[in-house]
Amino acid sequence: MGLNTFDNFGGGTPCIALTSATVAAASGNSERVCENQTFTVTYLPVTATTPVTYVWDSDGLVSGQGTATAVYNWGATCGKNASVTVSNACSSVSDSLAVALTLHLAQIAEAIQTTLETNMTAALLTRVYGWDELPEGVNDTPSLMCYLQRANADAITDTDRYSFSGVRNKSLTFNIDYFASVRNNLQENNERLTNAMTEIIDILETASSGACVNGSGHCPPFGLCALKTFQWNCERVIFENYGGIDYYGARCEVIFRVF
Amino acid sequence: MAFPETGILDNFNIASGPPPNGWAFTARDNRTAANAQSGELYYPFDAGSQINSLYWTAQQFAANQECYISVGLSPVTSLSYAGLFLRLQNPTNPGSIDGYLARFSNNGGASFDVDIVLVNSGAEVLGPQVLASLSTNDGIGFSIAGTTLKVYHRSGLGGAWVEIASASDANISSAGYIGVEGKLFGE
Repeated sequence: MGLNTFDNFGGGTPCIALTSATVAAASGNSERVCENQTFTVTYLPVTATTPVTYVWDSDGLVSGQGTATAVYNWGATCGKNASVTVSNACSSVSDSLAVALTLHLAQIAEAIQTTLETNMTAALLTRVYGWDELPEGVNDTPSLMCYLQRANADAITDTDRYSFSGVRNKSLTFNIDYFASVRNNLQENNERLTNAMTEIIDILETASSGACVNGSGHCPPFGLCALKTFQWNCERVIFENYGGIDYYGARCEVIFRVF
Repeated sequence: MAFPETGILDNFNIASGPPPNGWAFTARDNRTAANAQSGELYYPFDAGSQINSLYWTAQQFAANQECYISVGLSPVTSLSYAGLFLRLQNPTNPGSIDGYLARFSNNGGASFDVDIVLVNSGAEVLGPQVLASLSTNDGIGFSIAGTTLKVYHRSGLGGAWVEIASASDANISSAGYIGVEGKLFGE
């Protein structure tokens, strides 16, 4: 260098390294299989040098790649992890959150109910009871109710679970009750019941064939990919006799096999 | 932590000025004659108390920042002086210029007094003064992280950076400019 000189001036903001990342599930997550699950990641220190990049594990990722919030949907698989790597110019940290997803019984009832509601003629279905409601009685409108009726699991020695690697066979029976008789419109009961049963049977047949009831392509039963197989039967039933009058309807049993 | 962590902003490989591109005089400058030429920032010889004081105008840096520069000072005089700015605020306003300054002031021969001062209306010395030996091609550096200020020295162009002084101060916590000033580095 010459006299009276400066040279090679440098400087700026040194990179502040990331020390940790933490993945958390959004508070509104259902924790049910087949549904979208939202996760966010935060990092420390908050003063870490930006820009910060986010790379989420692509398995099941629906949206959010490159951002601090990601939406996953792992379908029917229950044991998954929401994993992300956060990086800046001088560091990289990762975190993974194990996600325990379950298929809620209510989810099955809701799925059946939604499928029927969506595909049945509106005039035949003017009221729907949720799985968490008890109807006050067959009063004034044709109505539908889907609910869990029975659950069965095989005993250890009942099935060939040894050759199936110990997988236990469980069945879940859901009832679809269609209340056709209503007190203010008794004369149309049978026509309504027949039409409704026809539609319900068609919908169950379509669902059991693997076709999509609400879309195209191959679909799991009622859109619940955790369900592998089911059988059904429908019959005309008398729900009650009130004042000497039989109140008719249809009861369909849907039995899911859960492995 | 290693020093420096940031790259070179200007090797002065231009022929322009005063001041050279990317620089502006601070309110402390009383010469306004710095030129870049021959790949260096050149300070014309002058006597007395005249000083060239410049800051890097391209941007203010985040609060944790550093700067460094290589010096050419052969031979030195008793007036030789170099300084580095951090967190410089209002750099062109004589009434409100503020910042931290690492000073290297000749103490005879190659010996320099090194101290850290808070520049505001005056110059409040922060921490103890130390001695350092400066030669041509040595580097001087200055960093701040939080409230901790550190001064570094590098022997020659290829030497390792060594921390030689430190201080703590909380008066200026925000982002700011970085800069350099000096006078009479040679004959």
